[in-house]
Amino acid sequence: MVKKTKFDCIIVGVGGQGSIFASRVLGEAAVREGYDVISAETHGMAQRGGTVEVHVRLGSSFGPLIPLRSADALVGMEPAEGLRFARYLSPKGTAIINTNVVPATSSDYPPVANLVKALKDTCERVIAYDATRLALDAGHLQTLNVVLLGTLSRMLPLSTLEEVVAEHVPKKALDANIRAFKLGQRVFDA
Amino acid sequence: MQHGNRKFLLGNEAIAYGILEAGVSLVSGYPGTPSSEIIPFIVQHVERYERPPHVEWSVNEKVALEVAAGASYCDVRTAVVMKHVGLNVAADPLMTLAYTGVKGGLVLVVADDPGCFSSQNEQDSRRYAQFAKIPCLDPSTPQEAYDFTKYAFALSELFEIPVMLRPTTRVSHARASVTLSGNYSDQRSPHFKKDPEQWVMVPAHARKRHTELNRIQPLLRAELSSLNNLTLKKSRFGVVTAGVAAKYVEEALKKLRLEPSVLRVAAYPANNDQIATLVSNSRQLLIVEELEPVIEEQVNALAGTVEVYGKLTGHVQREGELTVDTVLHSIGQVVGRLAAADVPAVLIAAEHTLPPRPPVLCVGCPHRATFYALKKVFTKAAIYVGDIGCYTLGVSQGTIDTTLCMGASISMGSGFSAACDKEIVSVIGDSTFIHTGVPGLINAVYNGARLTLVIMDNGTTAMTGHQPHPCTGVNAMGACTMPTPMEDLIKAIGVQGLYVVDPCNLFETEDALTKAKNGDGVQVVIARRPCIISAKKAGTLVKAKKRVTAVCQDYFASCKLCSTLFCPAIIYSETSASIAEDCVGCGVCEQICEFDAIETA
Repeated sequence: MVKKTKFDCIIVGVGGQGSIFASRVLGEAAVREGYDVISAETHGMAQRGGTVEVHVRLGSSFGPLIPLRSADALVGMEPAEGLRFARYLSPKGTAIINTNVVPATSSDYPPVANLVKALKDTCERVIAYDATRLALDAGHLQTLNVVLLGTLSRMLPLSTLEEVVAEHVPKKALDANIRAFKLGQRVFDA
Repeated sequence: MQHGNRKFLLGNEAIAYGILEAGVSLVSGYPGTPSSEIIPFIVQHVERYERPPHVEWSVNEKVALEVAAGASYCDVRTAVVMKHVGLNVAADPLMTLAYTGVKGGLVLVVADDPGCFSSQNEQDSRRYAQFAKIPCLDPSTPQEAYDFTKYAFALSELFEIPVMLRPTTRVSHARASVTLSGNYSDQRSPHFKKDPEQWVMVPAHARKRHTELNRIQPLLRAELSSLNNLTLKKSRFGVVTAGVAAKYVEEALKKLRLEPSVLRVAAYPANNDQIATLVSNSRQLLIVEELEPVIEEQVNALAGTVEVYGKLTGHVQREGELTVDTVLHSIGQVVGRLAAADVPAVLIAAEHTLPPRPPVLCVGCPHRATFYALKKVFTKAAIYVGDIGCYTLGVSQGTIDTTLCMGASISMGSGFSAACDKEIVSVIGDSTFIHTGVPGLINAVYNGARLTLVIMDNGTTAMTGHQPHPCTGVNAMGACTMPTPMEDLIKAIGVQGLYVVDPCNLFETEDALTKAKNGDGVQVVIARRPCIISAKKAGTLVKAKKRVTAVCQDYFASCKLCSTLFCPAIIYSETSASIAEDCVGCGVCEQICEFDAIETA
């Protein structure tokens, strides 16, 4: 039987932050646990530095794009990118936002507090923290996506996420990624 | 549910599995987003086969389709892969291939790009299928893309006709749970039966084949009707939809708790009987399809007094991609309900404060240096005729004035040179030069054009994901081949001057460009340096990160010359420039700084 629980999630960031990897882990785990899942990857023309937007729909037989104001969760690897896609988040949804900024070239960046405030005006719950620092604590900047995935995992009906992360990261980065995942989980629990 | 065969696959990977499981003997194509991943996935999985198919990146889409046609005439299965605009290049063989027909199943995978995410237009390939009178399958999910791919081969053989599979970006670049059958067909044995009346399209034969093509049209419509899905309800409101939009319709109707009759078209030519049944059951019809109003026009012809709403009446968005929200809006307009979600004003206001992140050339991209040198030597006064590739981003440096289609830089440059007295610079990449640039260069020399052609040779097809091409000496399978000697080719065409430079050596590059500018007729400068992403992947990049010295502060207010490079690694504060961690040390900023304020860190 295909499981029926539904969960719509938007994962966004800047190229190179691992938004697509995070969405693939989510999808792999969902398939493993018997869910239908569909996602849409939008990564424009830039190999690096551009915006990356992924929609992931767990338990959905619809199209890959999540309608406006209806996602259960929004994961922003970067605060401005998080807010850029907040229009997809349900008023009852949760935003999980890294407060660490990736500067945009040749343009002013608004204060992070304003971005978080705007998110708080938009949805029921905002979990905003410096996930970049936690990634460094875990052992590597590149585990940023796994930190945020750890936080998100507490909202998901999936039990194999950590296992799938472990299978898909390079062996030498395994320990750091598992630490990152657990640090992310702890943020949600706090 | 066979768990073992259920995978989380990109639509393009699902198509690749479908092609392989169909027992193909040959796959050809040219890279183009959103179709580019299909051939690499085939290559990735091909080793499982006792007799792996021949897989190639062809020089261009016309060549790819002709290669496939030859193999198909030998009664083996073939797939040809390209993006929508690639089909323009392959249109010549397509139109007559529909007349000759095929023997072994020939499936033409053409990925459309509603919304122009990575394309110069959003043309609808269903129009080409209609034009060529070949069947077209229109999947709405990766699962259907896989199922339809396998069916397409059988269909192609049943009617001896090429079959188009037309995924769109949201199918090709969707990733979803897909159940694979795991059943692989054996490859067919090659056999070419000489039959001039079928294969030699002299007028007498072509007339007969055209009659045959028209004869099978109603048979095709009948055969394809089983792929479509007609659900009749009591409601006098009906919806006709297709492709990924069918999924948006499903979701929108559920949200609105509406249960109209729905005809989901999955194959073209669409079945008139199914449309007529829906028409006779309805008073109002809404047609929801992406790109062109292909189905809408067909419904209009059969609708009689039934009201038909769609793109032609302004009820469905005419351009760009559809979403659940645009579909909610369309349905709401017809049934007289406010249906679309509202984005709160506070959020819209906050969005306006966000910094844009436009696509930029990578840190260390050799094109940046070439554009800088070009602008210095040829100045703003020249006309820079561009082409299709990463270098289109040179528009921000003021060194791309036109972008039309693959290969157009050289031929349009000839036109500019005949029409006006300005300096003409044509800018093209190596893969695009081989694709359709070569005939333009022959034409330019033959017809006495006056231009400088700059070939930005980064040794790969960078924009679409680093596919090899004939000049790279590697083929689609990763095997070594004899590289096409670019310089010999250009010399043989008879250009008046040819220079080869490393663009990151600005002195050398500016010198060659100056000579080209002062030379006669057609002058060619090859600016050759590997794509920075290729170099990183190959491990051949020697990083020599740069830093800005204190000297910068003294001249900063009146200088900022380095900002004309548009390098994302150079960060500006109020008083000075600095260089970010991601600098790879191409050294171009160091060469242009007039105050020696940049040095190796």
